[in-house]
Amino acid sequence: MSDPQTIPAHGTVLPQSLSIRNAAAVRDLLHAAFESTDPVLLNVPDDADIDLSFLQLVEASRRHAELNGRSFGLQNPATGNLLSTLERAGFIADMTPRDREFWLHRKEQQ
Amino acid sequence: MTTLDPIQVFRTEAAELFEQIEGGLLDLLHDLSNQDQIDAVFRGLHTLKGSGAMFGFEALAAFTHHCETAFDRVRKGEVPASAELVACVLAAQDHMKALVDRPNGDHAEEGDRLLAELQAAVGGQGGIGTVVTPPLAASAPAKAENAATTWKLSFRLPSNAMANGTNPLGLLDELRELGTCEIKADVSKVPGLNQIEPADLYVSWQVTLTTEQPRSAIDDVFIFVMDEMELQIEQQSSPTPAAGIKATDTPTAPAAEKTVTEPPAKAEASPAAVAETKNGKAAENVRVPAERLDELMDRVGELVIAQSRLSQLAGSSVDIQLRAVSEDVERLSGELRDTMMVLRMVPVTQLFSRFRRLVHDLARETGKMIELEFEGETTEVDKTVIERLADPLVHLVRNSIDHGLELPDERIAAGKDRAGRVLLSARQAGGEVIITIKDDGRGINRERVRAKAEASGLVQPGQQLMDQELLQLIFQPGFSTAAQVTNLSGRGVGMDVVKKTVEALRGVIDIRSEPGRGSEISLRIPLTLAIIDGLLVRVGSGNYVIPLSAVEECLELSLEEDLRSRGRSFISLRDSLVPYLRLRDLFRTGTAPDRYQKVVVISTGDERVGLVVDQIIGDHQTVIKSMSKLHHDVVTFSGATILGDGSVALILDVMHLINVGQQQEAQLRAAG
Repeated sequence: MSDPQTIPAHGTVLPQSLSIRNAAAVRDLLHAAFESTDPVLLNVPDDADIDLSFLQLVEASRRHAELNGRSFGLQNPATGNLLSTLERAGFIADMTPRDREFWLHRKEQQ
Repeated sequence: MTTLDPIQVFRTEAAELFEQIEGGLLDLLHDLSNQDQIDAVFRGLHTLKGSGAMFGFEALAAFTHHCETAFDRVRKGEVPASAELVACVLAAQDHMKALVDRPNGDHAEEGDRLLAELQAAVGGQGGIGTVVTPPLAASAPAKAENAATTWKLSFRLPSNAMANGTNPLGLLDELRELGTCEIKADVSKVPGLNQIEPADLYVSWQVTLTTEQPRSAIDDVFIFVMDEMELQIEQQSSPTPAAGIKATDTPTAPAAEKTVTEPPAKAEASPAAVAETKNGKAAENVRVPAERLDELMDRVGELVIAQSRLSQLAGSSVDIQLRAVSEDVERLSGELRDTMMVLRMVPVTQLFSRFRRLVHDLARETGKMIELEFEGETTEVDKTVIERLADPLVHLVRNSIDHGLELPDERIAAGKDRAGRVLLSARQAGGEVIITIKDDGRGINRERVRAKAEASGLVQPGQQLMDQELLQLIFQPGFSTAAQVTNLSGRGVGMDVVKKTVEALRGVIDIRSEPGRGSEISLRIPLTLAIIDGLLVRVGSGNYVIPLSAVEECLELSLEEDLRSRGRSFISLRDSLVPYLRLRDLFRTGTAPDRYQKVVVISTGDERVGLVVDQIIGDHQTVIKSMSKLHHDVVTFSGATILGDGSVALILDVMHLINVGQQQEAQLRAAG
């Protein structure tokens, strides 16, 4: 997977609603992004309505990218509602270096 | 196949929750201290609130939150359950239904009024109506214990938890409220983008929680999903005295760093075994939208017709292999049909349970004391029958209570119990289900029925009527004996609709009544409406189907007998005269009768009529097709079916033909 920070700044802008109510549509959007762009960079609105279903979709996209040798990442490090949802869901507590780099764009200090 | 609309899914779930809440409330009325019912109502309200919020019904979630808060206080023993509170929440539930049906409607005024009543019902204290937005987490238990314990939790919610309205983040928030919490998500089970079901839950969690709350507080967090989830709770450290509490305050010093594994409070087996059992249990039931069942039923119907054609072709063929295959297909389609029929069957308890609320409300409106009893609720009937019987039964129960049951003082004066009894029962008899509404009220006043019928011209003054005929007059349009028009009954609207609906279901109504002892109305309805066993007959050049359940026997009618009885049209059947109808004349076939015609005697209860046909072809699995809108005025036929050769056979409306036969008999008797 490429380092997200080195990827040119053109992202797939996601809708405001990233909750289970809209999960199927977001999944389709991610599919479409993988078919039409490379690398796939997600632009998550700071005040988006986010729940666990979206975090799962992003994790699923990470696996998809790894399996298919594609580049995938967040255009910006997680902030706002995305960051608070990650915290609430317990994603932050035990992050691997790769997870930290993916979600927070922080590289492990050697 | 269409995808499920999530909003519709929520509405379906909400309808079930409303039933659960309503049932719990009504049960609670019998025993206001019943903690199980209080918990059940609370759980229903909590789930409704959570699901509502998840699916965007914010107004519903906010309103339901207040009712939930009220029941939470009852649950915790802060306020007692009372009949007034139950009545308030029942009324509030109607409001919630409106919020589900019309989320964008103007409900504010009604909501405020109900909340004021709710506040008064819980003693006007503590939180009801003061919170606008539901909190993310339930409030922590009121009494904390003074010793901190560290627990290690490992849990996985059912995969459909989110789709069913559970918010995992809310559960995690509730755990955080209990104490110091470290939460680690395990995302290893999340599949790739091509495999993921967006609404399914794949993440599981490991939580280390240090809390002064008891173990039951942790179980409470999962109270709504406990039955379907995998949950393991290990006590990492035993309770230790909290700051400010002297060691001597704890009589037994806990052993240091002991690890105790406890199963979830409700489980007796190991968590893994519980999970296995629960998974197995979950797999036993699949929720399928009714329209998909109807689609499947249509396909089975088409298959039965195609099989019928195949049998006909094979029957006229000398190819033994074709015949063998045809027999196999016939057997399999018969089995498939039977299986399909079972799938469509639902217990009548779904129908009966609706009446608990109705009777509760009617008792309050009329001031009557009513005991509603059920019998045979597990009897199963085709789902279409259940749906279409709901309104007629409402009319019958209303009439039974309004006209039949007396006020408590009248009952005492008549030597009866203060509380009137209404019994709703169901039982299967052959291919029919018999649903009975029985009360122990004053019975039908026959003199008043006759007087009313004579006044409205339904019968001639002094006309002789059998008792059953007299009682059946109450089902005539516009007929009412109620001295006063109330909002329950007495407008003469309803009972004729009951009769029409029951007859449209190919059913009949029997009525019995004893003055001073009560009345009993029985609806005899076919178990299923989609496919019936029929008797295929020929009249002239046309084929017709007579529902086999109505056929009593078949006789031969020779030409001589036919000629001899001309003008009378009665056959003697074991010492009783049975009127008969010549279908050839009725259908104006213009053909000469066969030399040996047949009489098919059909009956509905006590009424019998013979139908003269040219030939009895045999039994026939009949897939019922409704008549088109162009034929909605046709009364002699209840539907049509397609025969094996592709031709159409009309299905005779047994009720109508019996009425015609009885009228003919009455005319002939009157003519002497």
